[in-house]
Amino acid sequence: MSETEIAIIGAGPAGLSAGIAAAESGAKVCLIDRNLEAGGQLFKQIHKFFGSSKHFAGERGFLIGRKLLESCNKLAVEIHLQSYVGGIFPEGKIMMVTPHGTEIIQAQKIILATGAIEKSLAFPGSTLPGVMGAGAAQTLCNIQGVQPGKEVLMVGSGNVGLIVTYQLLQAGVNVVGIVELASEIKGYGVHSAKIRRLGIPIYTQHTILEAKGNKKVEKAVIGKIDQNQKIILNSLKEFYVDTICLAIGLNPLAELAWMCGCHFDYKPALGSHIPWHNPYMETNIKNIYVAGDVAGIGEATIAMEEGKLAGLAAATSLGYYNHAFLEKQRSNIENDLKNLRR
Amino acid sequence: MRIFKHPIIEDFNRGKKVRIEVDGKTIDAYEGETIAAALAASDIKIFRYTKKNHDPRGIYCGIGYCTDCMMTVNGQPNIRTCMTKVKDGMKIKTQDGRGKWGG
Amino acid sequence: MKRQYVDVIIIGGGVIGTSIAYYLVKEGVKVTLIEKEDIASGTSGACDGNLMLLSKSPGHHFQLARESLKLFPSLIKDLDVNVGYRKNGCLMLLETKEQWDLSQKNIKQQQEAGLNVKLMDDKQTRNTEPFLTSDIYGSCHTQENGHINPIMLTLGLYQKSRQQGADILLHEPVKEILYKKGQVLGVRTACQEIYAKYIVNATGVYANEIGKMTEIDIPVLPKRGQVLVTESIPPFINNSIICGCYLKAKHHLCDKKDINDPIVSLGRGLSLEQTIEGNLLIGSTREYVNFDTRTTYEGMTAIAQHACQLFPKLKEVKMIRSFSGLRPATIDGLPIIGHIKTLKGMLLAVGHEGDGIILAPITGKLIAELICGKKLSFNIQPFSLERFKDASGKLK
Repeated sequence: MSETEIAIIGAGPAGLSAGIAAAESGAKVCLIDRNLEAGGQLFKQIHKFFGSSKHFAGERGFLIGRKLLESCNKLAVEIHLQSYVGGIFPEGKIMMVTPHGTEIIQAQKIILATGAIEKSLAFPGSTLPGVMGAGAAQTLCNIQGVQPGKEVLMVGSGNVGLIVTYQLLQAGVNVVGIVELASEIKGYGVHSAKIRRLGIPIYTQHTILEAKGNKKVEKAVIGKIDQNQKIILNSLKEFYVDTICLAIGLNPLAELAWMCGCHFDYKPALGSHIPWHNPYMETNIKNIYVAGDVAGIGEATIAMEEGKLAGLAAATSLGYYNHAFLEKQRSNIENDLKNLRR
Repeated sequence: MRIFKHPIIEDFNRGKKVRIEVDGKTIDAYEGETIAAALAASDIKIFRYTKKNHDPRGIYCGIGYCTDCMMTVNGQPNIRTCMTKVKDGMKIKTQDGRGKWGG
Repeated sequence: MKRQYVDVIIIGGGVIGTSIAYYLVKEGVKVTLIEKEDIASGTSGACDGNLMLLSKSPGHHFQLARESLKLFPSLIKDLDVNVGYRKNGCLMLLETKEQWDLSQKNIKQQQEAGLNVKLMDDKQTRNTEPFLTSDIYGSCHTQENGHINPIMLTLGLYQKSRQQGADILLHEPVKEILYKKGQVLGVRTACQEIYAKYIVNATGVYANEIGKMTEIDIPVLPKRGQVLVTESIPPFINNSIICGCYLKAKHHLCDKKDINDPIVSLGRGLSLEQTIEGNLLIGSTREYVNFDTRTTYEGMTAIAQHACQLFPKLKEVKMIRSFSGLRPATIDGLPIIGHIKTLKGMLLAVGHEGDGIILAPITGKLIAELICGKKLSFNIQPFSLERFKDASGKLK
């Protein structure tokens, strides 16, 4: 059994930011992440971020990831990779399953920064190989350097759908179109403009109806819907694709918060059931904090701010910062978050 | 197919070229790649068949959550191939249902 | 306030309450079942699915379980959901010479009671369970065993009872039991009063809370059982498995000297089962910690270590979850089934501890027989509340 003051579960933008904010105070911090590398989804973001310069605007996601990791290394923050948390038990005992066996970490404060998972969609053929999350396609083409397929249909025109479409094109993959249930494109105009300039059709008021193929995707069928959400029968279109990407939103990965007994609120705008937290990101269970997508789906910039706040608050409650300092930081972050969430 | 020219990413940090065996067939891979990526690069789509209905499954979430990409690797069933890097000489098998120990 | 009149009120929507409802509506009785949360939200939703005879001590308990097990095939045919019922064998592992010796006597009694059980040496045992450690004395084995998904069973009973006319109220806690001159009248909830001739307390670990409403003590205590869940793996065990210290733990037979041993102090008797989906459920601790349903590091570690000792291959298997459930325990390990003598119309069907799933059908049937004035299919004298009382009527 090893001991730490602050254990952070998830080393994505929220977790890394929390780790930096807490470690800068002198607190003993460790990060736990089940992936092969730290950085969460940052390293597959090859586009430039928006916002103010404070939030790395104009910077590409993977470069932000590198900076966060550098800061962590400088502060000698311990990061356990390929290690997942099998459970959080009373009195801050964390069961960590590593490739070498199970270890127990005894922590005084725990920050849950476990992120989110892409939502799935059920339609005939939706389980065929070739139907995948847009994030999975993004991982393949931006991190692994492998095209997920040759011809792709994207479902969902939010920022993820638009950005991944563009990145698939950059990777040399052909995207036959984007399907959007709503009557308008959901993502930012900057992103959709780029897509349209390249002549990729965006089918608003359309939905995916079926994936066809023998043991793998060979065709996608889409259809237009009327005002009553009914499919217009003579509107069906077929595309010869080998890949269908789903970019229809995210759900928080909140299992550990459930396990800790956190109180949840249902907030559809933030993705689903969200652990309740106070202005300092602490849940109703003392010493358990949340930050990032698990505390409500948002952009990486929001995750970083929330992580920082949780890290500061946890360190303050251990006596590493004074409360006035935390209060000042909190009000700054709160203002930033308000702007970012707009 | 692997991407060799990219407008933003200068280098995918591919390691040494290695060979892995998939259902008895040898394919090329690079150190640092996940098994899932190496298979995708060789246009292999089906990773396993489900237990109940024997339906094919492939890469789905790509971040170790959904377990759709599980295969039998060096005799060990239920390995999440999107979370496991290739090693030279690795023996990979399309998994049937929950797989078999040593199979 | 709304008023309603029915024949029978059942309090508790677990496997016992829904089974009682199921057997009562079959007899044409007008039933209202009241559940404070949701169907199978308590013990019935947090347990394993073993239908086990091997673990029962010979006597009333064993016979009752056996009668109940016989009811499953026809019951399941009648339900509309797939409850994942299947027959399998059960193996009790004997890890020490002491256990081996103890089991000689036990097995004889079980055979006399009519259980088809045989003793196997280490080799035979390993032939049956190839992943087992070689460090084993032997085992007891029976084919009279089954497996079921307890949540689906409870939901199935709920659905069928409702279909056949039972009124089922969810998220409606009972606030008060209405009674007068030693006779029950009905219950009051936040929004209504329901009147009935009979009330059945099937609230499991909360039995005494309901009992207190009529100033009757019901000696049922929550006993926590923690269970570890692994990832889905290939077929791993051919039988439901329990270890030899199971009986000891279950019947509190531990010596004082054992108390520092975590295996004993956590009251753990290991049990393993593999669900249809392939996950292993490995249980279970037996702890008195009131209504705390958290799982603990100590509990998980103790379970995992013992499981890995018995099945070394488990070291390669990932744990994905843990949960715990509260078992409604009585001091002698037997359930309480039958009328309360001091309060006319009040019946008990509680205290099944870890046997609620296997005992649900027979409990439902017996309560229905009691209420309908039918001949009982089993002598329930040994399960009366009176057994806990001394001559003056006070609880011992």
